[in-house]
Amino acid sequence: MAEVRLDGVNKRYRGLADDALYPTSATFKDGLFTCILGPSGSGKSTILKLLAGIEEVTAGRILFDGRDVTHVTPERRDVAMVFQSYALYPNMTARDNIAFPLQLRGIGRAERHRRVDEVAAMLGIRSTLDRHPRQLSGGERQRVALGRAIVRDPKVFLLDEPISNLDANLRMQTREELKRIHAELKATFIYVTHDQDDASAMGDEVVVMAAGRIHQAASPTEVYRRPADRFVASFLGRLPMNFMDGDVSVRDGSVMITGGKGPELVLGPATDAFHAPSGRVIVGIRPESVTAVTRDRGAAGGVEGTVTLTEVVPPDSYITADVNGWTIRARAAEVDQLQPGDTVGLRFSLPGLLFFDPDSERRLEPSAEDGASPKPEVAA
Amino acid sequence: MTARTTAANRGSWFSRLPIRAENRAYAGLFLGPTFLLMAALILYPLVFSVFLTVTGPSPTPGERRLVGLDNWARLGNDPLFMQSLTQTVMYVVPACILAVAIGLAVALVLNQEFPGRLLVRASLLIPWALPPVVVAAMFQWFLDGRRGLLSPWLVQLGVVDQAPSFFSGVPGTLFTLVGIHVWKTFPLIALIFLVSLQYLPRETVHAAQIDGAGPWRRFRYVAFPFLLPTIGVALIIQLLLTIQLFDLIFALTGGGPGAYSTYNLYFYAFKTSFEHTNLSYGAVLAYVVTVIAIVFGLILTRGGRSLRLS
Repeated sequence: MAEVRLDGVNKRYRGLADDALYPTSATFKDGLFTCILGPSGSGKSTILKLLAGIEEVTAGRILFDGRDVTHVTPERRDVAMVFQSYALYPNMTARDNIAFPLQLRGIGRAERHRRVDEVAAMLGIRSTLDRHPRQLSGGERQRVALGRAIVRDPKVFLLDEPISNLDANLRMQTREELKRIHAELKATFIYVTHDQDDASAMGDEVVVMAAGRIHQAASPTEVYRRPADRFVASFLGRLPMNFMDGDVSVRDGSVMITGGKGPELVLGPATDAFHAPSGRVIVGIRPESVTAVTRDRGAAGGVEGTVTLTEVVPPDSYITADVNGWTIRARAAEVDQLQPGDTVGLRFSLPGLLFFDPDSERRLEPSAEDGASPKPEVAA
Repeated sequence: MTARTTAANRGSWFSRLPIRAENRAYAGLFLGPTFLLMAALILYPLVFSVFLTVTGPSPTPGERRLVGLDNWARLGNDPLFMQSLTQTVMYVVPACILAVAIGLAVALVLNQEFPGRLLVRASLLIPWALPPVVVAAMFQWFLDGRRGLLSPWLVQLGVVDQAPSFFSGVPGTLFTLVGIHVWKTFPLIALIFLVSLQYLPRETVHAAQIDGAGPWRRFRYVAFPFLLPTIGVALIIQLLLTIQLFDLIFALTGGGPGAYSTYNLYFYAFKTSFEHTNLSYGAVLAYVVTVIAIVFGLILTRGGRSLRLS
């Protein structure tokens, strides 16, 4: 078990103008399941390779439990890694694959056999142990790769999108299993993925990355509800967040956005808890926080808009509406009865509003009274 | 091959080519010259050499008389044939082992990142590119017992007491030729391994490293099994190159010293045909070499196919 720390770690690949990882400090807490989430090229796999030692840092230090391992070779770091390609040894049986790390450590045959059986039972692959990787299904290969990592009882598990090649059902099942295995082993898990479902299903903590920088590190609910900046807000969520440029004000008891172009957008009656940010901002609201109701229901309140697009994202349905030139995506209850061209009323849930600085794109806390604004754990 | 593909392959080879029916005539037109050349340069000599093996010189000048399999039967009681065959093996076995071992080692080194790697990789091919006669002359100067460069060095360094003689011992001279031949051919073998190493999955090597394998075990458990089919191919290529070793023998020893001590079958066939002008027996000897080469060539194609499959 170990706490893993990056101390000003920087990586630039030879011959490239940009850093793959800008100087970054972060802590992966002991025994936690941390998911590094980001699009491709965000530097998430680079962090994993640096932690494994298969890439050298350009600058900075890597610490395991306070011990500097920056220049320790991979074979001496005591980390285990599961690759997206599984990277099994094709000429060895599943049993020999799993036993390989033990064999390298000079553990006797009988003991190896016992521990492989133990791990295989845990992963439900006892019946496939005598087969070669090419005779195994994707799911079985993934389990063998996992078994090879588990059997060593390492301090740190590094997982590089290990389930992204599996089909949806198996992926879900494997997420549960990984979670269970983590609970059983209580080791530090660092899991790289581009899939937010992986992160929210398994992560105790999520580290969101883009373009070589960490944008936020927090719990899965926190990164969803209180994204540190516009990128995090847009990267998480089933559907893209609505973003609107403008000034937010309260007039005649209503909250409204006045944009540069076109008329204002009325978001609804202001409440006591609502504090408008000053100056120009980017307003963000998730489609889940906007409700579209059909006019004939006689639902009062909300602004009128014209449906331009309907989509079903089970279990919910969404519409995209044009409101005086503003394009808003909203959740709709009866999407079956709606068609492009219909008129709907949109109601905005004011607590769902997020404000971002238009220059830095960082999220603005609505006001001082809002109080507890937890500092993001990791400085980007 | 499965039943289905066999069925699809039925019909003449020409109709199986991926050529549209209306373009067949053009295809024939374009392939024609090549076929004529091949017929003249390969097919005709092949048929003619069969004719040579079953005929002998006739009292009438310009004619040959049929002798049946007499020329082939001569193989059975020709001590020089047996000696040449044995010596062919003495060339082939060490040359294959050395060239593959050295080629593999060099490829592994050149697969690492180090400054000047490109330059070293490029210069690797120099021995392979040199004309055999140049190589022969070079080594003659280098290894000559009295005037050569190497002997004085060895004496000065105290490796040997007196200047060794590389071109007068039996069977030492044969192995000198093996050494020069390996020096000339290992770059090709190294290049084959270097290409193969480009396809070695990096993640698997990394996995082994993270699992705790040092350089030797990464080679032993990951790279070596991966390279195994390539090793087979390299062995056969080197075998074919060595069976046909001729120029070094011709330029350096002429088959000597002593009683034919550096003859191989190929050289013997040449001597028989063109110096003793026994074209018939020379053709028989050439056929023996050809059969050996074809057998191993077939194995090579098979090996290449399984290499692609893996």
